[in-house]
Amino acid sequence: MKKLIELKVNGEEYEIAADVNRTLLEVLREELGFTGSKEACDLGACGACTVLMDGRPVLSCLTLAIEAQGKDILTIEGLAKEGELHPLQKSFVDHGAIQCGFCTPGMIMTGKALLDRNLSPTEDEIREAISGNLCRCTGYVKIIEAVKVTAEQQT
Amino acid sequence: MRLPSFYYLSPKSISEACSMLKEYNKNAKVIAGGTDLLVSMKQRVKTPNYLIGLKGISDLNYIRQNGKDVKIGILTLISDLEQSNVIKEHFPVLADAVKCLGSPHLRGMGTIGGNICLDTRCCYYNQSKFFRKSVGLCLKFGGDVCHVLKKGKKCFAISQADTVPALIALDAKVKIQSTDKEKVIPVKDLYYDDGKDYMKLKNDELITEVQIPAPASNSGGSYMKLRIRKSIDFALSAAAVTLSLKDGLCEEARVVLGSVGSAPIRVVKAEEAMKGKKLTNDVIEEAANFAYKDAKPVANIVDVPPSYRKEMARVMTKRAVKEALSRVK
Amino acid sequence: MTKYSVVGKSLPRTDDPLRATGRALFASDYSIPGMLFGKILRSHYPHAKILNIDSEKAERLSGVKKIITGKDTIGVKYGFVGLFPQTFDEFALAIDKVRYIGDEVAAVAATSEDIAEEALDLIEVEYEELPAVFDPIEAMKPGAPKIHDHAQNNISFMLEREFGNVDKAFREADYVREDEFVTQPVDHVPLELHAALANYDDSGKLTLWSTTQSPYYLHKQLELTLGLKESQIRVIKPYLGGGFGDRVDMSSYDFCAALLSIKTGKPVKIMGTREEEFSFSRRRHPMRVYLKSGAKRDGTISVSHFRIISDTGAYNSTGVLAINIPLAPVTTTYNIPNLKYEGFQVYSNNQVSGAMRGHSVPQVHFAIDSQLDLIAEELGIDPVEIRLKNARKERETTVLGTKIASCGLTRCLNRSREIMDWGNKWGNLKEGKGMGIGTMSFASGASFNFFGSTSSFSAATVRLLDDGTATLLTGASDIGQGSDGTLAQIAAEELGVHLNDIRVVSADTELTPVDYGSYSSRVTMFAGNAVKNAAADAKNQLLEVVAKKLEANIDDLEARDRKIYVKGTPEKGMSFTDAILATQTVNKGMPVIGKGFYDPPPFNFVTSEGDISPAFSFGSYFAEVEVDRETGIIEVKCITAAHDCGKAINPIRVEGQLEGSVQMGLGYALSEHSVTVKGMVLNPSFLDYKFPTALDMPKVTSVIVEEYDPAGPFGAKESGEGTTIPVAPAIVNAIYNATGLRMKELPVTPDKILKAMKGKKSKRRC
Repeated sequence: MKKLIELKVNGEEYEIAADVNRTLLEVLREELGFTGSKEACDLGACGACTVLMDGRPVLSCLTLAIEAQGKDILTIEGLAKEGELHPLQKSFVDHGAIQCGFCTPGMIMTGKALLDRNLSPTEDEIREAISGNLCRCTGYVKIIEAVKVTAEQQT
Repeated sequence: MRLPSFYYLSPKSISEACSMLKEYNKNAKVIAGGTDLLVSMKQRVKTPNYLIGLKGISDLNYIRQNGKDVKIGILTLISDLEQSNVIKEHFPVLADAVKCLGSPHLRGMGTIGGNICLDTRCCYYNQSKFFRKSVGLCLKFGGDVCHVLKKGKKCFAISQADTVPALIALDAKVKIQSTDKEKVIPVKDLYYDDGKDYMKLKNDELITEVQIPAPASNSGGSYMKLRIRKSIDFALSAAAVTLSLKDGLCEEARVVLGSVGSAPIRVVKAEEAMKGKKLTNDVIEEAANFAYKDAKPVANIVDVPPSYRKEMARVMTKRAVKEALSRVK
Repeated sequence: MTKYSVVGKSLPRTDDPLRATGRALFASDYSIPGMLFGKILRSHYPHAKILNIDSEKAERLSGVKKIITGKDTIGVKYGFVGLFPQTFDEFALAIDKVRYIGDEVAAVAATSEDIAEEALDLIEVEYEELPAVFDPIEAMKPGAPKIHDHAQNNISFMLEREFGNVDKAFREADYVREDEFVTQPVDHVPLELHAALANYDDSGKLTLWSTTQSPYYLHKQLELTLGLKESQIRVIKPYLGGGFGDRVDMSSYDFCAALLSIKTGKPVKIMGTREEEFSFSRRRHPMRVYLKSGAKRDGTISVSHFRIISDTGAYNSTGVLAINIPLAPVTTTYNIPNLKYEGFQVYSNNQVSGAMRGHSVPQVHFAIDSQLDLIAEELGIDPVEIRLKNARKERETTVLGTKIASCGLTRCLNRSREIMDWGNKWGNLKEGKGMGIGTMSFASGASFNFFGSTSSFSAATVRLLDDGTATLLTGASDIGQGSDGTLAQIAAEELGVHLNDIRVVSADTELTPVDYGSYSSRVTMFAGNAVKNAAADAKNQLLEVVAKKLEANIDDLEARDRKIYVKGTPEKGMSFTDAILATQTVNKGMPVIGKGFYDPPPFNFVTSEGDISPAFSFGSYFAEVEVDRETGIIEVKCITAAHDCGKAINPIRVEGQLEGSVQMGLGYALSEHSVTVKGMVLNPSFLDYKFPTALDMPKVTSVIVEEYDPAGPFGAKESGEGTTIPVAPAIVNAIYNATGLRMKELPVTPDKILKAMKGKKSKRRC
């Protein structure tokens, strides 16, 4: 059964008709074209689909689109402003934190949420914050470094 | 993996939600954080016709201090409990439990209510349609065979919710509302020792609040969770302990095991073994030994022998007692 | 001024910002208007005859456009190593019978994913269940269920080799011991799921966007199984979210999407699920490694006898290679003068095994490094010393006749020993703490031409543009390891331009020259040389013209920093852009295009003699662990990973390989295990398959040891696959040091530690 769903994504309002059983991830990727959020397990255990909802990291694969109405949704596509990478994105690029890049959007969104609430996280706090995001390429080392350096540059 | 189709209902009040539950009976499921239910639905373990979304009901998300008692709204996020100073300060056993639950993302989405109602789990149950078609339906799924204990007639799926042993150790209660009445019962009375029908909630009943009594003075608590990974992992064996001291002797104690049975197991003998005594290593060992005896895990966690989980009930209990003791204040 | 201006620098790939902004498109991100969605029907039985498939009900479901079964295919079997035709044993869709749970039986194309899924339930397959066998040892016994008609005792491939005089060496050895080691099946788990989007158009051309590591092999396998001509197929590998060997082989998603698109005339997209990934895609070969070795009193290993039994599962896939490849490391890491090697690749009704990072070497090196410690202890020798004593040295030739030009094993051992403070810590650690070593060597690309192609192993072209930049065309596949960046750095260095001047077009069989793909850690060596040669060819075309203009000897010219000049006088040179324009003018407008290729030295597959690879990487990892004696939980505190990768073209990416390898090796050692019961995988999810999170990682110290190798581009060797090999043995040896428990079976889970403690009053070493 389709319903009219209103979503606010990256500052823009969207209105779409979608089945009520659609997850936020499916709507973002298939209806709105935000393919930056990735599906890697679809069962909430990897963090590749992480988006920010009212500033908090949520797993869009376990979020009903219909329950995301009225929230401020930020996806990886909404992070760079006017062609300028967000400092965290730049840091990921510069510090070798990106290998295949598939976990990257989720990692960056999680990292952003952390830095938004904690200006200078310790290494342990970074590890903890990204411990719901799986990466198979990097061993997390350079991802942790990229987040840390961004924090240092900001303060 | 798509979700199966369903009708989405959005009640504006608890009583409306209870009426919906009553009307749609077993065809409806309540959704709070969705971190457990939606996974089961994607795997077609659950296929409710109606989802009753609680997010539209106001005032279910709170941590309120009433004197030293605490009341927690049922939609309170696990991460809010994790950050709550009240919880950290007065209920360390619960603080431990919420800290090691799932992953940061899951804690930021999942609610205390969801964890209390977490379905029992089994490596033959939490699987896909393909898996079930290949190996056959198990007891919990309505089939006639237990893949874990071939001749078993009872389902041994495990209670793996982290907060529940902690809440029981705190003598917490829940407020339950139904279409016609409201009641308050101890958390420990919520569960049957049965993997299939694990919860005593009636069809139209909704838990709306968790109530934790003030801790006794000179008390401490701890929750110890054994897991393979430090994140995204359920417990293989867990123990929640609260205790209080008087004149250097153990006055009260609660020992509750998680993940080694279909319901949390309160080990009364372990509690008795400590009460009135100085908690020396020998006394703690003795108490832990009762935990070992009461733990009854079966082979339903992949690659982990039940004998190991049983042994770990002892170790987790011992460690939790020691940690609780060190926290007494 | 340093020798190189681009090579040796830790530069990001020029398209890394796309990965950071979510704009990089992976195969699953592609869609074409009007495309259909496919799903694959798989067998629920581990072994069964297909009696009948009735898809009528499914076809009647509204939205279903096509259902294909084995009958719709041309019925040709495929495999991976064409040199051994009997190992072409797999139908793209089952015809006669199914051989594992998950074997592909049919596929559906429908207007939506939901409808395709629903249609699967409506296809009725009538099976006759056959007895099945899940243990390779059982499978080899007489009377075991026969899985393939051609394979006696279910042996899919066998290799028996003897070099030197093994019997004599054992007779003369002062000390002989035999051990058996067992390794578990594990999964690659790239983050991206399989995806394939096929578009068969009205001109009879099939375009396939695929999560493949080898567009070339996939192209060849599609030709074979679809009966199409080379020119009718175009395979494109878009951004790829990891591979680790899982995707060197054609997948059912590729084949089914292609055939469904051909049959419907519409684009068809098929995406895998994580469950399919865990349960039905390739996995690492579980192996039993029997190892008997003889040593002199001083610790010199004089002879080794390996007997390897490997479970290939239902089909051979890369099984031939899995049995051949260990021949290299068992003779290259250490100088073993006498070797007996018996390898059996055995069929079972399990999930199919395939190439995975290190391709059977992690299994075998776990045995080598574990046994080396056992021998060292018996003979009273320090584990580092026994390794130094036997370590391969540069400019040696192995018993196989493989020439080792460069070898940094000794340097690696010495560096990690120093960093870990081995001298002071070894033997003095607290109870429950321990240190251990693992080592490795690995081929920088295997010298196997599986298909007997006449094309070279790798080719590239470099086209120079009027604005002074270059377009590099290479068939090599960046699967996340960063080869596009590495190859661009090689091209930039050779041309004398900046990294940003190179645009890479890669892994598109329509546009890019042949390269066999990303496997066997071959890309830097093979594609790197091809690219270097192509760039040199383009550059030389410029140099000829510039030499005339500058009235200089061509040999005196140097290209660097976007200029071409006589060495020592850059100010008098010509800009790279002007050189291109001048060359085109002289050549009457002909564009400057450089071509290059690379072929490795020959290796005799029949006798296993010769250079199995042009060069070898070496490494030693030292691990420090702490074992909780009550819970058996092992915490790896730190790992020092020293790796000789030759010249590091991009050091930060080499570090990335080392760090990523530590994670994968850590999981292999302690927690990862694809657990099956009667062929059914029990833990096909991220929740139940325990691959390490950020909180589980030890501190990693990466040490890059650069032993220049003459075969490599700018002296580079492999870094990617070999790096994961030493992790598990280092950890397991450290566990022994901490507890006195010798664990011979992976993964070392906490319950095994406790069981071993009970079984034996543990003695603590040193």
